[in-house]
This record gives sequence, C-alpha cells and structure tokens, in this order.
Amino acid sequence: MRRSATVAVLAAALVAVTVPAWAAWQANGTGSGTGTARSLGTAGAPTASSSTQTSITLAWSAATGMPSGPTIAYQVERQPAAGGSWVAACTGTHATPNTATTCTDGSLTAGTGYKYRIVSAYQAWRATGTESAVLSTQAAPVATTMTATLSASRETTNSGGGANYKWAATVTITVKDNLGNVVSGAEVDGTWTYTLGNGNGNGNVDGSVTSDCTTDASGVCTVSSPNMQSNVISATFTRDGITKSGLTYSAPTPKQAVTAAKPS
Amino acid sequence: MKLFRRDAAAAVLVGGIGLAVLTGGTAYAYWTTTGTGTGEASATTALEISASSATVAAGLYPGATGIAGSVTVSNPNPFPVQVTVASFAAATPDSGHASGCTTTGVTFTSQDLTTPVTVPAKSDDTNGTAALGFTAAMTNASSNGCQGATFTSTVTLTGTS
Repeated sequence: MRRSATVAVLAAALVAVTVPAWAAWQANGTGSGTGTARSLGTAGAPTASSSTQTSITLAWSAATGMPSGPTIAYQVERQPAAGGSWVAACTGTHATPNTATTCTDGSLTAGTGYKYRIVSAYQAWRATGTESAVLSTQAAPVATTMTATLSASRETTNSGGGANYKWAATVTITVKDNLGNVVSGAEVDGTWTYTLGNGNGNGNVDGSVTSDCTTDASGVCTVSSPNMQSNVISATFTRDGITKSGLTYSAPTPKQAVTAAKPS
Repeated sequence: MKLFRRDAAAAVLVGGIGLAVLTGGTAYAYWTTTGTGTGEASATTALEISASSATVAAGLYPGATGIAGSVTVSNPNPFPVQVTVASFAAATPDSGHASGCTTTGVTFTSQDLTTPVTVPAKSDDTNGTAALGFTAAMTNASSNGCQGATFTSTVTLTGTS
C-alpha cells in the first residue's frame, strides 16, 4: 500500500512537471521579407513655347511613376547645340528644383541654338529625361542703313577790328544705323560754302571747301571752317556722302546742310 | 511479480521526473519529448520553422509608410506553433543596386503579435503554413540609386507550441 501510494504521488508529480513544459517549447526560425522600390519617371523632352533674342520659354510634360502624394519637381539643364557640359538653366538648380512644368531661360545669346533636358526630382531621387531638339533664340536684327544728324556752332576766334576779326564754324555729325546704334568709323564727306556781306559781294557765295571726318566710337565727328573774316556772314556745310563698310547711305534730297552765321 | 512490476513502473516514473528536472531551462526551448506506453522516454529536435516571401511590399518611395507585405511561415513540426516575435533585420538592396543604394532608408515592421500567429502542425507530408504580415517604409534619405531596387530583410521568428 505504501508503495502504491508512493507511485501515485510520483506520477502526479511527473504530470505536474511535464505538462507546463509543453507550453514553453519553442520552435524558432528565420526567413525573409521582400520589398521593391519605385522608379521616378522622366519628364518629357522640353519644347519652346516662345523665344526672344535672349531667352527661350520652355514647357514639358510632367513625370510619372510616383503615387499621387509626392510632388515631383524639376531642374532644367542646358547644353550648347554643338555639345558640351550640361549646366543648370532657368531658375531651378539641383538643390532647389521647380515644381512648375515651364520656365524661361534668360541671358542667352541671340541667334544661338541650345539643347535642354529636364531632370525630375523627388527627395534624393533623380531621373533625367531625353534632351530636346535644338532650340534657338531669335536672331539679332542686322543693321543695313545709316543716317546722320548735323548741328552747327560758331565762335569768334579773334575779336580785333577790321581785318583782324576772325570767326570759326564747326559742324558736328552723328551717324547711326537703322537700329539706332551709333556707327563708328564712318567717313563723312561734305563741302563748306560761304556767303559774303558787308558790301563785299554781299549775298554772294564765295567759293567752297571740301571737308571730311571719320566718326569715333561714339559715332561722332566734326568738321570746322576756321579763320573766316568779318565779310563772311555765314558758312554752310553740305553733306555729300557717308561711307561705311556693310552699311549703305541713302542720301536725302535735297542734301542735308547746316549753316552757321557769323557771331553778332 | 505484481509488486515487481509496480516497483519498475515507479522507477521509470522517478526517472521521468529526473529527466524533466534535468532538462529544464534552455533545453525546453529546443527539445520535445515523447513518451512510450511503457514509460520509456526519448527526445527529438523541434524542427525550425521558416519564412518565405509571400506578398512583396511593392511601390516604395521616399517618404512611403505602411506598404504592406507578408511572409509565409512554414511549420514542419507535428504540433502547432504560435509565432510571438518576428524581428526584421536591416533591409539590403539587390546586388544590382548595392553600389548606388548606399542609404536604403527601408525598414520592415512585423504585424502586431500581441495575438500570436498560429501556424498549424504538419499534416501528413505537408507543413502547416500561415501568413505573417509586415509593413515596409522608406525614409526621405533613400539614395538616388535605390530606384527600382528590391530589398530583402531577414526575419527572425520565435514560436512556441
């Protein structure tokens, strides 16, 4: 009986010990999970919606490849038509791209071709789109003709009486092309004519003197008639012609002339 | 003879108690014991459970959170296992993106296991399986070279019977 009781107690103890052990058994393991990342889409090749001599306005289609939440920005890069390095254009840079799909690239050279490409950007991700066709600024207009303006001045160079009296006339010529730009290096040819008075051939024209000058960097040159005596009551400069390579001068009819009267 | 059988049975039971005590602690974690009808005891190894990718967390992008995926947990043991812990290691990009994807920004997080995932016991020759969900996220720091990459994260599972 004692043995039977002992066996029963031990059996109960065994059950008490082993049953909780089942609950604590572990079966560990490893494996792996997988995720995939999107790829940022590229914007369309830009096209020019307008241009000036110094700017090109670009437009392009938006990039795709991202969910609706993120706002994709763009940086514009420019390359000379003949090739070379791509540089940041418009107002966007790699650090601060634009979110708009249009921009105007300024400070360009007239009549020059460029290529553009759009780099779409989201956070650190970048995707470079295809380059545009060659887009050009408008050509600068070419000057073809020139015109001149004349102005006369006078001064007494010797106020002595009689034959000692002398005065001088000066004509200033300014030459500009048809674009309004001053023309340097233009040769101006003309003729001085004189009118006599004071009972010495009064009112007659007494001879003529040719005179010429070449315009400076400001498009200006002067011709003078010095040492005129008191019987010369006026001096008139008539422009005969202007010559400058690459420009033509259409002489007005009648010829331009300007008169300086003897100082009173 | 009758008394002798009782003595023998008692001895076996005492041995069983001793085995149960001696195999306590860490041994509980890896061993299961099955007894025979005669009171003899033998031990066998609890087979490891495993996980394989089931649903890819697709469409990660900088700033993305909560992109859902799942793994299939496989149990080769003849008893059900409850997965109580699933710990995902740092994600690594595929070999084609390893050089450019220097900062993945990607993390994997297991589903809430406050209520464990129960993986059924092996039945006949077929392991029991259950899905374990996770979410993936990508920070804004993700490198440019991570575009289009496939990321793998090793998950370590802890299960109890």
